[in-house]
Amino acid sequence: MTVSTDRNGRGWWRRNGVWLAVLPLLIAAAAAAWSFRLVNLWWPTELVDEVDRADVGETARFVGEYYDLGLVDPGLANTWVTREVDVRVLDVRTAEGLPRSVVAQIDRVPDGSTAWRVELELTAEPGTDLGSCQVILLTADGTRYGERGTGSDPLGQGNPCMPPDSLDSVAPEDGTWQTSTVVLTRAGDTPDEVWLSFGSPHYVTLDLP
Amino acid sequence: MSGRRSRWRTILFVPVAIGAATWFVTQVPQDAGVDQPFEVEGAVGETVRLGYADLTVTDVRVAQRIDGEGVAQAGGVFVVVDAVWEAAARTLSIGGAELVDAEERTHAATDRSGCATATSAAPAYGQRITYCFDVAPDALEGAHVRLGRGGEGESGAFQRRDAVAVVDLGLDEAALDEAGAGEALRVEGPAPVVDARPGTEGDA
Repeated sequence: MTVSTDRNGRGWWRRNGVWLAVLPLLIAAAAAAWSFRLVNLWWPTELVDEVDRADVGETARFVGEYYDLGLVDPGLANTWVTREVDVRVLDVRTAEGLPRSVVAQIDRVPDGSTAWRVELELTAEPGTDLGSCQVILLTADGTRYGERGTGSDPLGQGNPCMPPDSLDSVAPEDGTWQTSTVVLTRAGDTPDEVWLSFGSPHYVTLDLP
Repeated sequence: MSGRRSRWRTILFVPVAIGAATWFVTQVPQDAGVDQPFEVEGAVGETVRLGYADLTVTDVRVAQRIDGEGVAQAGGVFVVVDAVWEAAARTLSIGGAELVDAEERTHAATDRSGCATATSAAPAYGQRITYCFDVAPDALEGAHVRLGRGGEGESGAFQRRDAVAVVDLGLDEAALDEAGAGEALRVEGPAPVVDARPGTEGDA
């Protein structure tokens, strides 16, 4: 192999040294320029940001910002608000029946499914907006059960972050309260994580025994 | 001397590299392979596995009139397609539904009289949906439906590089006879399936 040199006897690496040094920076700049689609279009629409993770029986702390439309507190309209909620799993067990609800689309456990009752203890500043709360069960293969999607809960349950029979989605005066919600999985699947989220991209993970 | 040979080698390398790359690029069927949906074919009664969800077209009927939220009369004839979706790993929106006839004419699903054009699907249970297509009578023979999570958009934009089920409806001219002017065909909006759903019968 011949090494080409210029008139001054400098080799290829010496002549192109500056550009080689700049190349990684240019690649990084190009990647940053392209990533706007990832950040603006994809990132906010997926549950990708695990805010906290708690071992079995431990408490996870959810901290996430949301853009308030002022539907609950008009004083917060059009501002970014930080939502802080502590959550702990009290119990996750199979349930024989489903909650009774006049708006339920599913009134008995479907064939091929298992119902799980998820009991949580939540702590938040009274008045914290808990709208769009989702309690999701995960199995080892990553299947996510209980996501609300665009529709309402087919079991006719209310906000899974709220105490039974509450009519709104605002943290109660007690500051700490318990919730109970039912999630359907495929029969034979056993959840090993609970996710709590108030919409993409933030969530907290609670490990199950 | 060796420098001159090296320069000739470099000069030769350029057209050879361009020629090889051009040949390679022309061998790759770009139009068909790069951004088209991945079509998975099936038939009525079969479960089609799309990766993100399982789809079963359970029934196909033809009617002049349908009755969901009030009776609707077809401009041509209604093709009513019952299907069940079950998501694989997470709750999804299912938004793509069109009927393609033997002449490659596409017909969008109609939302008249309570017929649905979209639904959501969850992994724990099946979601039944009834699609209705108002088509010309001569479109029945050889018609198939293309169902997927992405909508068709202007040029299939939301189905690019994504799986789409292509299900032959098995219709022919004789189907028109049953379409008659009798009672309107009852249709219902999307709802979860509580009884044994397609593809699970006989499973342990």
